[in-house]
Amino acid sequence: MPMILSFALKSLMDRRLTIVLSMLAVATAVALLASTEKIRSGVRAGFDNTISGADLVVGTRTGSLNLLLYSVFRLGDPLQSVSWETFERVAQHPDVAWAIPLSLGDSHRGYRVLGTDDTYLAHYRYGSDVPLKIANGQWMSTPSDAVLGAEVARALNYNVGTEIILSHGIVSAGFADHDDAPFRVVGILAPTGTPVDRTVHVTLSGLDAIHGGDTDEGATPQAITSFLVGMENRPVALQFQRVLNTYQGEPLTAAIPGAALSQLWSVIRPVETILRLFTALVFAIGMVGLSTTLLASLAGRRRELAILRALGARPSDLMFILTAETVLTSVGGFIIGWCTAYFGLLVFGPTLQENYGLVLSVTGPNSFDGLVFLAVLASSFLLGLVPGIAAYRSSLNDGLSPG
Amino acid sequence: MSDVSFSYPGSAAVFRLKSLTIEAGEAVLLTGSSGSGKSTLLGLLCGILQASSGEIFIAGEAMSRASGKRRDRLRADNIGYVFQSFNLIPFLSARENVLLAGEFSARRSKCAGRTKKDRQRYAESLLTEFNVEDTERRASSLSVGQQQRVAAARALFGEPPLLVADEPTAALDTSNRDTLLGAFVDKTKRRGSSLLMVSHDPDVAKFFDRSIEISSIARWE
Repeated sequence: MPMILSFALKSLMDRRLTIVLSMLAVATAVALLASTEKIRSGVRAGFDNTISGADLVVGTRTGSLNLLLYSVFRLGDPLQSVSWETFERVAQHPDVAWAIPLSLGDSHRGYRVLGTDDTYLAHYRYGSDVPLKIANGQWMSTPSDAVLGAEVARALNYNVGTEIILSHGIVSAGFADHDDAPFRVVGILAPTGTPVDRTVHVTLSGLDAIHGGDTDEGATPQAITSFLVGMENRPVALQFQRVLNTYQGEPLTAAIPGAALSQLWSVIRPVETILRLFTALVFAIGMVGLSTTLLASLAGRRRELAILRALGARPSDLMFILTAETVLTSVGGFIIGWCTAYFGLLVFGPTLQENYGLVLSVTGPNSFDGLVFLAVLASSFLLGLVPGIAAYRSSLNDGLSPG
Repeated sequence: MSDVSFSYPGSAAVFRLKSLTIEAGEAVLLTGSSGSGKSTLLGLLCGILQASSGEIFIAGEAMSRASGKRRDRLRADNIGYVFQSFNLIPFLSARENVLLAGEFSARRSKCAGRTKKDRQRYAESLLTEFNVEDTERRASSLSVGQQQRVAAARALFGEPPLLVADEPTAALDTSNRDTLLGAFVDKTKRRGSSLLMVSHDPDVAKFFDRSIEISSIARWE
């Protein structure tokens, strides 16, 4: 029925002001729905993708969630340290394949400084088991070397060879700068979309040096903040976690990253549910508003429908026209809303990333968008039936002269 | 139409019509006071209303026995209808309004032309016959007289065998009325089609072959 469809389109064009307003109501609902979902899944994917491959994260006695947040995401409360001796013992355990020491506490112009060693480059994984890559330069080898995350280098406009000064603590206040011992950038990592991008990496001995320790290359550090452990056999992780949690030498917490993350999600879930409920309500209001507008316009269009009837249009044709109008309007609203969300995230995504560390992968239509589209289609069809059926009935009862 | 009876749903009043026959090529004027059943008669004739008994034939086809869908089809194929006023879809152009008559009837569409271009040319020439020059103009911007002429042109689109007009000149002044009716009756007859028109105005009888007072053939009981 292409003619009827084009008739419906022209009729919509004729009432464009009302229709555009109805479209905007639907568009707002869709944009809200799509962007909150993208942000929600972006946050979740951001967390889930930050670390992979590590079976345990080990630190001093604290909550497993806080341990993970602080040592991997650089969020949450600072931790007490773990002795180097303990780290060595764990790393040399026969069930342990590798262990990455992590030493946090300093910063450079708002970016966290992480003291670590070669195992970090060799064993740290993110996303779906992706290793770190050096985009420029090389990995650090001497205590004065620093390797920057991609975003640090980009934001501060640093290159290989730039000299930097670290500050004590995370706020760069100037008075606690370790300016007696500058570092030199020797490498820049490729972007990962994880907190690694916002990290300045230095060697453990380099970190010790600015804290007044021994600068000898062979010297061992006193203590570290936490460490990541990869097991020879993944199933052993649970058992090994218990061993570490009951370690006699000092109080330790060993957490399985995945389990700690799901603990985080279970905390966030009610908030997500409420958020979804509200966006669903906004959506429902938008759709009902559309139906109301079209129903209200029906009275003024009885003459139009009577003309079509006189020309031989069937009542079902009229119903089709009115239903098609509702569906077309809401599909238009969906497209406007989706594009708003898409380009909005494209434009504001970098701001979100800089201010909240939220990496949103702005992708094309995904299955959720498809679901929203189907919901728009189905609900607009059902709501369009209301004016459609009203037109059907009045066209049967009015005869040829509707008032 | 013969021995037709009809009542609106939920109403006790019964409309009864003894007999009405219009020959091919004949122009008939139907007169009568308001509420005498003129609209009901037209609704039945056009198949919008379904008679509870009796026979209604349009161009040899039994409208009274057809299903709702079939009646819509018969109306689309065989009847050109002109309302009292507001005949046109306001947001379509004069030409699009005329072409609309072919959209619900394959028969009339085919009669008007094989291709879309042919049909457009056909619509243009019909409008020219009724002195409508600016065929691209939106219907809502035309004067009442022009609108009624476009409606008359649309009724004739695809040469339907029966034209039905419900007081098409009520909103027009005398000179506009005479121009429209003269042209409408003339062009209907030239195509060999029949015309049934309802009017209050006794002056217009001069354009018609015969005049029927509705109370002489039908009444409400």
